[in-house]
Amino acid sequence: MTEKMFDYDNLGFKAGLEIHAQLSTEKKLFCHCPAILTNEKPQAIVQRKFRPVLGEMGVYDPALLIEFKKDHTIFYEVFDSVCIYELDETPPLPINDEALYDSIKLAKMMNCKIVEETNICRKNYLDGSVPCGFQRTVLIGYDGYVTFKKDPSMIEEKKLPISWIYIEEDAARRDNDRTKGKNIFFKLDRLGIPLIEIVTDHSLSSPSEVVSAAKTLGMLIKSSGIVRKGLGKVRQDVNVSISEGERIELKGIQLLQLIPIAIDIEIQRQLGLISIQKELQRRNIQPQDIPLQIFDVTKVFSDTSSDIIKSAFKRKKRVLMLPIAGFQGLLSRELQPNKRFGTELSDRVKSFTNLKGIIHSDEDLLKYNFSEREIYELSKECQKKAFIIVIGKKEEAQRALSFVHERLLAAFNGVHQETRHVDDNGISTFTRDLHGRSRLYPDTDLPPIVIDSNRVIKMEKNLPENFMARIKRLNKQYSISNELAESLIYEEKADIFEELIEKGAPIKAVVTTLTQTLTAISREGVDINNITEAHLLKIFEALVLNKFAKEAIPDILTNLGKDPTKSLTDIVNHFGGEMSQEELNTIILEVLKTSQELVKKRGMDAFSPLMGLVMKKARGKIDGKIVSEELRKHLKKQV
Amino acid sequence: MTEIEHLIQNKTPQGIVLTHGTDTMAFTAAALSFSITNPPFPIVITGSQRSSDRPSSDAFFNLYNSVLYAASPQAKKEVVVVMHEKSSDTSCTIHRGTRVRKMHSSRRDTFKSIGGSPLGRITEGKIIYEMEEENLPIKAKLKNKPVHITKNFEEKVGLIYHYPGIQPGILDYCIEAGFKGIVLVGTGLGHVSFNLIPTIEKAIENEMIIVMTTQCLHGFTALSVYESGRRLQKAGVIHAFNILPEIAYIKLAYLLGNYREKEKVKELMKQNLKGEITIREKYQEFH
Repeated sequence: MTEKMFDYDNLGFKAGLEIHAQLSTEKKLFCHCPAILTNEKPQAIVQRKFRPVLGEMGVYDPALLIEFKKDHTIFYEVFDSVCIYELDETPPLPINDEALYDSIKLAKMMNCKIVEETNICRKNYLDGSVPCGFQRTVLIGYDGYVTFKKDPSMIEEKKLPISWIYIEEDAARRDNDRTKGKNIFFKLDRLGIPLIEIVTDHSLSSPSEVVSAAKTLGMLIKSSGIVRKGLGKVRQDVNVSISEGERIELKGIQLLQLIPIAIDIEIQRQLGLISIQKELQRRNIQPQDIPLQIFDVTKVFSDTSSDIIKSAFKRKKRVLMLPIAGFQGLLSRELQPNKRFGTELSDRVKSFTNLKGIIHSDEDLLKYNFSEREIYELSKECQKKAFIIVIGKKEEAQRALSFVHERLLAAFNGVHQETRHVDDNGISTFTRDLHGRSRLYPDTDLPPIVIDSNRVIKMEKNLPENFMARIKRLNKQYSISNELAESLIYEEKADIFEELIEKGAPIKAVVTTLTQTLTAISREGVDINNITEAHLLKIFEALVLNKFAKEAIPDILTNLGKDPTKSLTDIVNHFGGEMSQEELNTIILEVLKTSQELVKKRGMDAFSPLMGLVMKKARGKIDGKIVSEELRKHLKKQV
Repeated sequence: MTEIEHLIQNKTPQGIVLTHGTDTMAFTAAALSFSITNPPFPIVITGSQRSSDRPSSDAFFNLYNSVLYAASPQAKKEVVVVMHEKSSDTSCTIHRGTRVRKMHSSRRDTFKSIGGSPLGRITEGKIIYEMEEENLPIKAKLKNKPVHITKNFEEKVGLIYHYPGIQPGILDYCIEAGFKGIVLVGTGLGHVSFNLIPTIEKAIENEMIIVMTTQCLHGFTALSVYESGRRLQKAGVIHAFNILPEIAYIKLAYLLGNYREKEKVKELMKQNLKGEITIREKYQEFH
């Protein structure tokens, strides 16, 4: 754990988690298509436009209106594995029973109450990720809890209340290779795969608690036996707030280790925004001091030598300016490493329009090759106030400035509620404003579902082994440490571990293979996705039958990973083949002969380097233990 | 209907767009086609397959293109259905009101013109006509004659789908109930089981007009080729080339509502009044 960056209690830090995991059902949630991803070329492309609709309360959701203003055209890639349901061309079929009751099982494992009757609800999305414009989502459980250790290194436990558990449809996959400008492409294969959503309450009070809770939830979900395996199949979003700030949704955090880093950066960002708010107060600037008054300053650049402006002029673009009184020096205030308040404004413009971003008065304008005269004119034009410039077609540039203006007004209230995407370095980028409540409403295509309580009761008596109990059992049964048991479960290797041991494989070799060898060869660039559990079973079966010595496992796995089409039997035979004692002795004597100087110099200390030389020739063909015994014997004789 | 009549009489609009549920849209399109002769402007019927409370609804695109067509000086002065051509929001088809049929229970591109090209399509705001020249003219459209509207439709008209094992009692009921006409949807070229023929004969003796159409939807009826057809023809069953069953039903109700003479009704049934019969069926039209 990294050292504490902030006094979290003092800041009033609060966090909650939202976990998504794909269920491992054979079929999708509302149609009979296989729940698989494909690499096929699309059979057809279907083009659509989305429009905002009135919510049940008769108002538009503002976030949906913004999405609409982006004016995107959506293209769907159609595959053999999808039907017309995914294309929004036919109503849903009744909900997938397996998925429904699997998710109830998980809800029960999290001590949730199960709803007696549940409505299928619609959650509007206008970004095109769901072709019908809404995701179907179904409440399953509520009011549950999981117990987790406050800190992995501590014994003290804490209960994390689970607020809601939903089952919903996964969205379509964005195809970034084809997406260009306002034309957004999606692959329809993922759409409709059953997804479980677990929403915790907001009571986590430090980053380490968040990590520990996320890990616990992850282990619980993975040990339930109902979710798809593999990286990214369980996704966690973190909601973070501090007393003076706002709830921010951080999405896309793939690795647990990134959670505390991303949280600390977010706290830093919120503190930065709060300091801007306070500075505005100190300067006595009010929202009405920055009206949305846009100036066309194109003429300032009539004979410019700035390349970006020159090339923009060729495409008939204009330069618009928004003066912003009182923001001097605030635009360059750093909120995240290398990301300033100006960057936040720019991110919004990039997200809502097709413009490349903004230029602001806190920047060194000479870097854009603006002349001294141009800079002077700009500052004269806005009466020496701070300003934002955008370059684009008039209408779009105006739109961009109105988004900037909206965000600047929000700065008077400190932190603005939004959803942000976290990159691998923990730094986040604006994705969208938080959706309002009015976009969730009952689906009229399917009747409410009555949950079979008898089936739930039966299921409750038969829940999968609790992962805490499993850790203890693995520890006892196989004499492995709790930490090891925990990581086997978290990394979804506990099942194959137990299966291999059951087949008679030696524990130590299995542990080394699962926890070290695979990671090591993966680091060397071998694609370990090619190595299946069935392969591992076969390899260890051969090991048990002494077809090769355990030292050959890394080589066998490497070969298999590099070319999964090769026959495993061939690979095993290549590295296997028993070596007789005589053969070994010949090798040892040869090595001793060529290394006489080393033996003279270091005596018995030469054992290690010599062992390495012998093993080069004997690895995998004879047990390393025998090699070491024999070598020691021969070396002793010579010393 | 009264409202349409009012609009027509006052000749105010350049065209009208009628929004309609899709299930019975083709019936309405046919009914308006027959009841309004020489309409002074285009009458466009449109709707949506995804309700307008959904962000993905096809309502907007269909309505947009319908208005675009209705307001265009290029538009033909007849009743048409304008709906999605494909699953994509890229083009709409303009269907003649007497050749259109809902062919899919849920897809956006559910409406098809059967037995020939549709009147045309609208893509990127442009109207492109596609119908074969020979099918374009509408016979009943009398040059220099004013618009004529009739709201009379005979109610005692039935539409019966034939199936193996059908009980003649169904027809007996119609005779007893005083039905004036029946459209039969026969198999293949226009056939029924032999055991139905005596009841059909009885119905015709009772002054009922029986019209034969085909379940195949595509292709013409031909009652001279097989025994069943010949016996039906002999009994007095009439048929009208490739008129669609639902359109035949509307047409028969219209004719019976407006003409007293049975012979006139029979004669007009076989004539192509509003483009309900394709002149020539081309090879490419069926796939």
